[in-house]
Amino acid sequence: MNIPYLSLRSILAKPLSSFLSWLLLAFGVTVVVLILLVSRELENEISKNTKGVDLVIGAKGSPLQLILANIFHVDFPTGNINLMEAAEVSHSRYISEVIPLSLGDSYAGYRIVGTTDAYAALYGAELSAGGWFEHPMQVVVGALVAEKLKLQLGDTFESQHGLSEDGEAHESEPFVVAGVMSPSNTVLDKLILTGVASIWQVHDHEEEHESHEKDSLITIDHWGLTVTREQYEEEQITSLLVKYRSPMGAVMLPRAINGESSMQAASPAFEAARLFNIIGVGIQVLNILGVMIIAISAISVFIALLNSLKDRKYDIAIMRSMGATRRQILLHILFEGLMITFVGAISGLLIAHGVLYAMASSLEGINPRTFYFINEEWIVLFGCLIIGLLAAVIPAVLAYKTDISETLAKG
Amino acid sequence: MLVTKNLKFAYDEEALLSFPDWEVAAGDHALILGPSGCGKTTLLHLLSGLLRPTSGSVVIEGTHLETLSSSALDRYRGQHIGFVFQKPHLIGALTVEENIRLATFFGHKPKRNKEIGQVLEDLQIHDLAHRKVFEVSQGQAQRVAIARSVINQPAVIFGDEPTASLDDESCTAVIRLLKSQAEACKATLIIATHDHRVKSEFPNQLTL
Repeated sequence: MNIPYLSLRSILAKPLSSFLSWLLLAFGVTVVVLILLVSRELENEISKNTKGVDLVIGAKGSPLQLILANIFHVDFPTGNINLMEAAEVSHSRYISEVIPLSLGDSYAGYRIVGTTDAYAALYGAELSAGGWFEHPMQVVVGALVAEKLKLQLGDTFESQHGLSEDGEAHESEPFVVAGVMSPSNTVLDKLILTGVASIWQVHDHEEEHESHEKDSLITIDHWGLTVTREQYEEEQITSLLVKYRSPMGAVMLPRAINGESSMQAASPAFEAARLFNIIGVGIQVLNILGVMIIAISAISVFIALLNSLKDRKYDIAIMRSMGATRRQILLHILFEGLMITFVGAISGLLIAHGVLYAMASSLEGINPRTFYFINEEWIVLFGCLIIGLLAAVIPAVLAYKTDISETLAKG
Repeated sequence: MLVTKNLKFAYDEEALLSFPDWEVAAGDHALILGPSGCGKTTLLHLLSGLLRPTSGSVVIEGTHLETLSSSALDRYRGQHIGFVFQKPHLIGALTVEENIRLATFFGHKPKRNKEIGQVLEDLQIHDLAHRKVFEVSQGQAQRVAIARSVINQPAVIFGDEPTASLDDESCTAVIRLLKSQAEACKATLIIATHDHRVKSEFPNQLTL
């Protein structure tokens, strides 16, 4: 027998009102913590995938769309840019590294990206099997793609035009799986990588080009890519991922491209921040909702304690007659409020992590660390305990002040 | 063992209650008699330290209650004084056994498992030990209350109308139980009542 046990028993003695207080608090905490975790994961995801890319150059259109399509591979590309124009821009002295991307095809809903080895290197990808793509029509598949589509080395498939699963199939020679990447927890996991030339080859077959005679070759130094003159003049790619040589690049390059070429340049950091601003309103609304539910829960704890105090006035007087001090009675009521809020807050935290885990299983490509606890959760937990204390303090003081003689005389 | 002197208490300035000096010897059982509203309960609360007198003194076994601080008085009450009220007033959230254990906790006399078992046995409520208090009858609840009052082996057991709401048979049974339990733990029994059925049982009587 001790004071916390006494408090626990009196919580259990009124299960319905305790349940309501617990439910409200657990729900409020779930909402707040879930938002915290999701926005933290989202920021994490964004910074992970934009790391090493200072600028994306692509066809004119929405800059946000350009970033979404070429960095996160979620939206549709803005269009294509000419290879020649892209190659010329790459020679700019503000650029230290540049990676070409060619989008637009997919296989079973997973995007095929025509690029160079540098793209995989950008995210520090490693192979779990096979080798990198060297020849046209060889692909390296992301870990998630390999797992979901059960692709193994040597498997072949035909790509589809467009980025959705119901796209028209290309009737060309099939792609061959040359390598499988290990999970990198980046966007690479859900991509199929191949050489830029593979994409051209697929499309050329359909267009039935007549001239196949050997052409003079042109090497695009910055890309580590050699193309024929015909390809150089006629082919297109989707975008360039650029790393600046110096901070001066950030000042000069976007202005030059946006003003003087038919292409546009967009900064992933800037566009991601803009995206966060857009969804920030929704996050804030949800957060306010969560905090309000927590506040309602505190009021419910307060009312439940105050109400029970009427019935328990005699209990308290009896305990005092048995030798309980005022301080013990005060603690008894405070513990009751604290216990409900503590259990409610802990349940809320666990439910939030559980929901995150469920979401992670259904949302492919996002890999939240389900059982990674962030510092803000301590603040939420601590805040809930403070709220529980505040809700219990008035009933506790009233109980503290109970006039035992008067109460017992009335009994 | 219990001595009062010039005991006065005022709820407000107009209604001053003064009580005659009184002495109860150790092991001597006594009654406080009088009609309703004459101050029996007030006197009982003064004697047991639930209420502080406006003036005068209460001495129990040499301890001057009026000199104790508030928390020392609580502690003294827990260790040396037991109460039985008209209604059992058990703590609803706890079981029968826990109600008795609670008295040992607040009375700073923990680990009295043997004594708790014994008193449950003596009062024939052993079978009810793990029942919720609302599952037992009124008469059984009153026995739990008696068990609760004696578990700390107090010096004095105060009864405030413990028989008022009982029929003749239960009244005799409760008085007999109270007396036997008080004697078993060598406590002095002091009962405030207007119930004439119990008069003949106690030679030392104070009529207000």
